[in-house]
Amino acid sequence: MNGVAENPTKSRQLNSIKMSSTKFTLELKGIELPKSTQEEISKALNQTLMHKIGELDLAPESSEAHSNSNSPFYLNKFRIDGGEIAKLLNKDLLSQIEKELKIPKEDNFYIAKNAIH
Amino acid sequence: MQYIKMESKKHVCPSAPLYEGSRLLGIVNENNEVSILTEPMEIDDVFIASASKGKLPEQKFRFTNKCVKSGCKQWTGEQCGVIKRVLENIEQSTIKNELPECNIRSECRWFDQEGISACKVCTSIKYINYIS
Ligand code: SF4
Repeated sequence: MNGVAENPTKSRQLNSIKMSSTKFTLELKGIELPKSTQEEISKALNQTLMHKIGELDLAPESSEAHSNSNSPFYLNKFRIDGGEIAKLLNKDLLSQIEKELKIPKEDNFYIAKNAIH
Repeated sequence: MQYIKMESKKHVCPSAPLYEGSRLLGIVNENNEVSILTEPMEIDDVFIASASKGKLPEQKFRFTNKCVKSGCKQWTGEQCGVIKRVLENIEQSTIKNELPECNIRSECRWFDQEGISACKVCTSIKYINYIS
């Protein structure tokens, strides 16, 4: 055991890094295309990749806050706004959240899992 | 004589809105967690056009851009209020043991401020901007 106390909240020791990846490889065996054509194809593939990644919408619908404040709501992720405007569509819900978490009215809101039911 | 404390290091915001200079940092996955890209991806108009369809891009992705400090509502004057508040309120079971493989760590505002505790909750954080 090492005797140096570590402040867990400020630790910078990265001991458990998760690695995952998705790989796309394309190889046309047996033909050699002119450089300009290769560049053109490569550009087109990149554009398709950009387009397809931009189209991704994997978040489950159920994760969104209910817009009807009469129904029980369950937020299991933080709502973050580093930008300028943050307004919940439902004002009643917002005031309920602010009250519950004692968040100043004009401030944005960060809601912890299960914080409100 | 009074000296004004200057921050020499430039930090990046790991949860920035999509605007000029933003790079793709993560994708909200099926578990409603954010899959962090090891290397943030440069994005172009093609990405912006398709990401802007349907929900707001910030609901589906996380972006990184410079930390604008006092230009951001979350800046408390000395630090980022976002990560601080998240760490204060997060439910223990949401905290991860594994950290995402992430190349912005050395310049990340949240990591600089809170250490690996920030990384352990980073994938649970989403930027959502509701505009009425
Ligand atoms: S203060 Fe926080 S939320 Fe605002 S730009 Fe900096 S890191 Fe991002």
